[in-house]
Amino acid sequence: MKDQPVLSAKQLEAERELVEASQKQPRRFAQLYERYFDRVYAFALTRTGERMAAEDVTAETFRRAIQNLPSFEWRGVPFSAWLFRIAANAANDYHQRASRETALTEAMEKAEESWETWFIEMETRAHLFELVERLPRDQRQVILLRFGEEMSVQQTAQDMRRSESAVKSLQHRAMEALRSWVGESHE
Amino acid sequence: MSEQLRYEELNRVLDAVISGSGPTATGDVKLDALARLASGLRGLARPDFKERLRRELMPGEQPVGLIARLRNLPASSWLRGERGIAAAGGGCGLVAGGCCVGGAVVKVVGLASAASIAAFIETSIPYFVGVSIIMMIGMLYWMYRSAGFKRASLAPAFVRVGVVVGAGYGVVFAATMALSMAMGIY
Repeated sequence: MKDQPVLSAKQLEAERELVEASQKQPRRFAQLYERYFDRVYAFALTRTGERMAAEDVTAETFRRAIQNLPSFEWRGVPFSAWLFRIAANAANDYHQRASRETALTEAMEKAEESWETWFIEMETRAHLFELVERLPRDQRQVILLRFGEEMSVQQTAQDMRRSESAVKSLQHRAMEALRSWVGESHE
Repeated sequence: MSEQLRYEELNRVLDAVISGSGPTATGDVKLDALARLASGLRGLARPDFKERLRRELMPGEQPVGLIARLRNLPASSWLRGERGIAAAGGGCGLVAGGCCVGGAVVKVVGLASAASIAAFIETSIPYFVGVSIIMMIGMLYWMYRSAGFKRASLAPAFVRVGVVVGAGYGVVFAATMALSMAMGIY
């Protein structure tokens, strides 16, 4: 697994400029959104364990981030630290709501696992989600439809207007590419 | 294990992961590694969720400039999503207007008079158009074959493909005719 990316002084400065630009022009927040969407979503998915909940937490995180961005003060640490604190609060709120409505879920038990365990799981997921973006268009589409939309191969083939065997071949190539990239980042 | 068999086996494993029953050991080291990788992909964000949330968070995010606005039109997004098909339609349009382009080249080089080139275009254009139509039929057949000869696979996108191919064909063919008209050979 790739190590947690540490921003260089130059990258940190660029991020500070981007955050300040977003405070003045909310339109610029789109760049921060693109940069951190996969990581926030992976965080939310790991904390909640289910897609719908992860979507709720991700949406709430970005809503709160936009709402509180004007009062954000740069203190020399990556913007992601602030964003993950918001995401953690949003996930806790979700768990509190869920525990009021239902019995303790498997996801909540998971949240009590060691911090290192779920941090590694979250990082692995975030890294994989980012790698999916690097796949060639057809392969990426197969992965998004299969894992994102949870479509069967038959539905994927219909959506892409390809034969089922072509989809299976693309699926295999995509998984192999992801495996080799993950392998590279281990080395 | 043959390639086809490997695709089938991986697909079976992925179906299990996606349905939530978890990866099953296949006894094949490579396949098992892919299965573990697939577990990490489970729950991957739906592309429409990301876009929906972006629109909700940044509703005022309007494209700036004429090109950005044109890129945002629904027809443009169709063309962008089907670049290959649009290019194929454009290629057919270029074949249809081949006599016009050829005539323009001949005129520039000075190999024949404008009147004789115009006469050639007048008589040959139906043949060029005919060939381009045969090419388009061939292209549709190829698409049908790629979809495994299943009508259901092609039907939902028929209108979209038709519009994209027609747009590519029409734009390029019209451009070749405009070129020959501008040069006074048609």
